Amino acid sequence: MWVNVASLIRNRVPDRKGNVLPGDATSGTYDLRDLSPGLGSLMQGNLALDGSFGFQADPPGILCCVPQDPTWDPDVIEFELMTGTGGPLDVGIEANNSCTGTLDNISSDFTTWWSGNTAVALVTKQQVQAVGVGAAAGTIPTPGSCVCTLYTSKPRTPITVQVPTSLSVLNVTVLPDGPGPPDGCPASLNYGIKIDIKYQVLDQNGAAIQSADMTPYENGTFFTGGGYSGNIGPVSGYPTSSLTTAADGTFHDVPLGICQAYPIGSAGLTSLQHITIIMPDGSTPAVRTQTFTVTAPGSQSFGHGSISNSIGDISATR
Amino acid sequence: VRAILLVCFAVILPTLGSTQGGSEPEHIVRRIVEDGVSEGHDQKIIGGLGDAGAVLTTKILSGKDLTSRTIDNVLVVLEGSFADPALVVIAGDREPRTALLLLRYLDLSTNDIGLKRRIADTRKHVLAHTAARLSEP
Repeated sequence: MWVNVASLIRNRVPDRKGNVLPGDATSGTYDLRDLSPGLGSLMQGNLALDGSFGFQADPPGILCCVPQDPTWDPDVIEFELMTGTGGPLDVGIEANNSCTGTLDNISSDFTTWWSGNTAVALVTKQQVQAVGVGAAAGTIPTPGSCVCTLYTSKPRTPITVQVPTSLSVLNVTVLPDGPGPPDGCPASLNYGIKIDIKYQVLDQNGAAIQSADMTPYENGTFFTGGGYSGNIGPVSGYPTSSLTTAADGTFHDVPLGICQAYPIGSAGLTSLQHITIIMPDGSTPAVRTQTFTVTAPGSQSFGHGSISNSIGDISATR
Repeated sequence: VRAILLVCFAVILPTLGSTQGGSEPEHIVRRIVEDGVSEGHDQKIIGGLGDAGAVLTTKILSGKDLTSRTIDNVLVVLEGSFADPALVVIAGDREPRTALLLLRYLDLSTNDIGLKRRIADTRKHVLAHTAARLSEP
């Protein structure tokens, strides 16, 4: 049988007569009596008695501080990374182990999880599902985890649901001349330009969304008229293109531009492009609308061309 | 030989549809071959055609005199159609049967040494890309 004196003090546990130990007691003496017949029921090792100053027990906190029964510092209990999109995302709780000093995952000790704003995020045991734009708090009540240090705390953490809102242009590469993919303009169609644009998907706060689960989609009009729509990638023969974003949330739109056998006037040819992102939950937020203009005026433009966009962040010449 | 090739095309052509529109494959192939205009977006369409790109081209060329410029434009279509046979939508179109026939026809239609070399280069590219795909596990 374990008798935890500290627990009796701090939890105000009365004895059979209703008396409780003083709440500020930090030391004291007491008698132990073995009521069972025979010898050996009370062993000095089990009680950790110190004979130097009489029979005085060590502080009961020591009983908790073994690896099997540590205390947790509630001040550092926190969710793991909870930003992202789609989901559900696996999350956890980490806390300082008072015995080892290490940061341990104690998620399995917690049974009740909830969200402070279910319009933004749904919180279930060890999982978060983003459902809307905004911020919410995930909350978990902590159980008393040590017989000598009972407490209840409710760790909270902000949950940020990232939604694709815009694109930033990371770089623009002019495709080299050549007969076919992955080249740009062939020698027989030598007026104009084709480029490879690398984009980064940004959220509502302008932060990069680091997810490989986004599918860039486009619709718009050709430089020569008529409409198109479809996934931006993959494109046959252009290895930088892909169906979905890379793990860092970037993607390439390639090849973009026009090459033709005749000069393109200074007024240029224009092409409208709307880009949306198809998310894992099926939503399709719009992230960019732009008009490209390509020029290659006069016979002196043979082998040359320029392209720019209406936003002003894309411009290239060959 | 030309007569045999023309007979072959005559058998193939009636099997093709005649769709029109900005992003329809035939519209795009026709724009490249007849107008000499290649948009970046075109590759997203013709890259999935494979041998069907060659079949569409033969339909467009039907009854036309071949100029050097037209032949160069046809090479643009064939290069794009076989850039990556793994992305060709219809499995049966991943083999360049009609494409090789068409390239042979183009080669017989010109005496321009430079153009014959470009035709030969395209044939090599088509065969190399097809072989690369076939060697994949």
